Amino acid sequence: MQWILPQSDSLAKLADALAGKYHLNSESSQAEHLLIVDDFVNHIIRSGCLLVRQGETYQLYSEEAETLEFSSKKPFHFAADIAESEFRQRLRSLISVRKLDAVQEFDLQRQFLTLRNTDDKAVLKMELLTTLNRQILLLKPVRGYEKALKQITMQLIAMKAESCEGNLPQVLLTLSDYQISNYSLRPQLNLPQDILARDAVAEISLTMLSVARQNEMGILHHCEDTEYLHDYRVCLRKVRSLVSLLKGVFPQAVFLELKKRLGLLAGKTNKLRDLDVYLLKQDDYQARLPDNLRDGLPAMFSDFSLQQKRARRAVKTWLQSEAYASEMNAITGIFRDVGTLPETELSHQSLQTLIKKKSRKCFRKIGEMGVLIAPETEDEEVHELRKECKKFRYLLDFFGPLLQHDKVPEMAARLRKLQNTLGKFNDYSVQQDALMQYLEAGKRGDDLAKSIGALILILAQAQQLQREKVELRFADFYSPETKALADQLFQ
Amino acid sequence: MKVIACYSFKGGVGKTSTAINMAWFAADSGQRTLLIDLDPQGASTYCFRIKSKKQDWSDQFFSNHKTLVKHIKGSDFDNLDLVPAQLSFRQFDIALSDMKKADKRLRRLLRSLRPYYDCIILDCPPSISLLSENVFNAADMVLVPVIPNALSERPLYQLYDFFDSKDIPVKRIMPFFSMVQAQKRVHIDAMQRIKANRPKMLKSRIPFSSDVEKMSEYRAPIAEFAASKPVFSHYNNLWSEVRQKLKV
Repeated sequence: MQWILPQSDSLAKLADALAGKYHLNSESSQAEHLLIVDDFVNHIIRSGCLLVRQGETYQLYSEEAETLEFSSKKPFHFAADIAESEFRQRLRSLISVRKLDAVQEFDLQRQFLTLRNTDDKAVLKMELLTTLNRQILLLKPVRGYEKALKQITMQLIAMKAESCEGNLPQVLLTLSDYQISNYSLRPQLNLPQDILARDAVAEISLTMLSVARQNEMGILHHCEDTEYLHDYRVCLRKVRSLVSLLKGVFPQAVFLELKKRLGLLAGKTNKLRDLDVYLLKQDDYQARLPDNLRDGLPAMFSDFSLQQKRARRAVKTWLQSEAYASEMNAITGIFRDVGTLPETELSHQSLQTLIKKKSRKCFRKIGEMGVLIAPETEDEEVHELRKECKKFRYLLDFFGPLLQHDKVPEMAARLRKLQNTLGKFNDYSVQQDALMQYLEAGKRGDDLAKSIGALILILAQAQQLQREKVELRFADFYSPETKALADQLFQ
Repeated sequence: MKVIACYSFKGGVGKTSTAINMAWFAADSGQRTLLIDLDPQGASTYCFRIKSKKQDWSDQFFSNHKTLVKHIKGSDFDNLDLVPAQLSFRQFDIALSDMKKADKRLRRLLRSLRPYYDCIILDCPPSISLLSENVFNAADMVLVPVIPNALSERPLYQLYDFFDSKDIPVKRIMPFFSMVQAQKRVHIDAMQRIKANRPKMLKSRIPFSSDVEKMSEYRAPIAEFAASKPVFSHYNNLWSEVRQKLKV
């Protein structure tokens, strides 16, 4: 029971209105500092939860589950930094590997009050919170004295106090001017139905580049949160794919320039991302190896850590350089000024027609490649299938809404299952290559060689398992139902 | 959930002050506590500034759990609720005498409160009756204040005999010296004599103190107005001993 009081003298007016039957005693008061903690994307707040730190206590509020508490002398930034507990599990399910920081702070004064009857018996306990130039009155009923609660509630309604639901931090957040992030890796594009192909490519690319750029500050100042770089790269990759998928909308020279410039941007962060991924896999690698073969891993990871530091420095320098700014400007400039480019065969085509044609072609190609995959097929061909599936996925992601068909998400879901297997197959393969390269790159001790050797073997087995699933997953995907769905969507 | 009865056959020995202060300590230590004032005089009720309902509900006390719950009142202190007494509680024996298993009705009633409370404290009237028998059967511990003199000594022995005669385990009886005046020869002698007779007396003693008398004047537990006085520490020691014995 929380009420926002309309004026600073509301409490005095309340006491006056109740005089004769009740009197108000002020017991004590204390100053408090309360922090709302979340990650860059506001994963916690956006999922209807709230993480609050007050002193050493963290409280995780949730709309659907009971509030969980955790005590930590020092503030922590990652779910992985705290001991295994229900609190950590729930936090992890919300923020995964993202970094936590205080996103809003409140200084508040809490005054404890008691409403007493003529016998001086407490009939209602209250707390008056003053913060953000507002006063919030919390009512804490005393059992058996419901009449007093009813009377004060009536007075509060009469003086136009505003009743507010939810926990206190939630109320405070609503009262503050905190803007909840609307960051998304899949921003709403709302392309007009009759948009021309080249204009669409430019608009989507500019949107994705702007999302990429929202991560720059994070990469510079919170690089321990590897998701900033991850998202930055995803955005660039999407733009690169889009430009390649619809290269015909640009004159050849412009397409080649874009390809070169975007390739350069992505290439500058390849090394750091690889190292981030390996270091994130630390626990996974440890768990995969038997105890007696783990001894070499710490040396490798400390090596990776050192390399990561260097790579971070390089990426930060690059992002702050004039060369980077001018590269970004050049790319965005091309997209912004597409109207001035000479017309090409596809540039002024209706986007919808073009996408349907591209999607049909892509789906057919996946089918042709997939049916040829047998147990003896070379891994390289499986990789090619993976790349084609990725193209198809991007087409659905970017232009799905344009098809105006409620079955687009169904097609995407079917594709995702096949992609998951292909993705894992590829990851295991890339990891083996990287470990092999690391092993061959310098003089490695026996323990390290043993650990890496065993790890490569284990990863090869895991890759084989995924490889065996590819045919089955493909058959599931390229079923008569999916073909019929493709006909519906792309004809 | 543990049930502690503050009982003495003899009046004016400090039952109510024990009940009030034990309830305060229990609640203060985080136990969800309910003090039930069974004494029609309603001294505990008065000390907590709670008014008794005018309407007589003594006939429903033992038969209707919901009615009992409806009469629970919150005290001024966190974790501490109270069932206020009323004069009609003097008729408990009449109400009980018509009931089946009349000596165990209270035990049954209190069991229904198990989900809501960790500790129940009974402030009992100074009598030995069917109600007292109910109290002895329901309690995990019967705290008996004993003034060290012959007049208090006799009722204590009578209580042991009563427990024996009703086959109630005597180990539930936990006597302690109350209103002790250490400078009085008669108190010193009585304490030695009683301890020799009943070696299981609690170690804690509550001295005679004007602060205890002031509880009815301030209408509050000792902690509220005399927390720095020795008598507060004595009650604290008594609570610690009770807590230890009951493994609360």
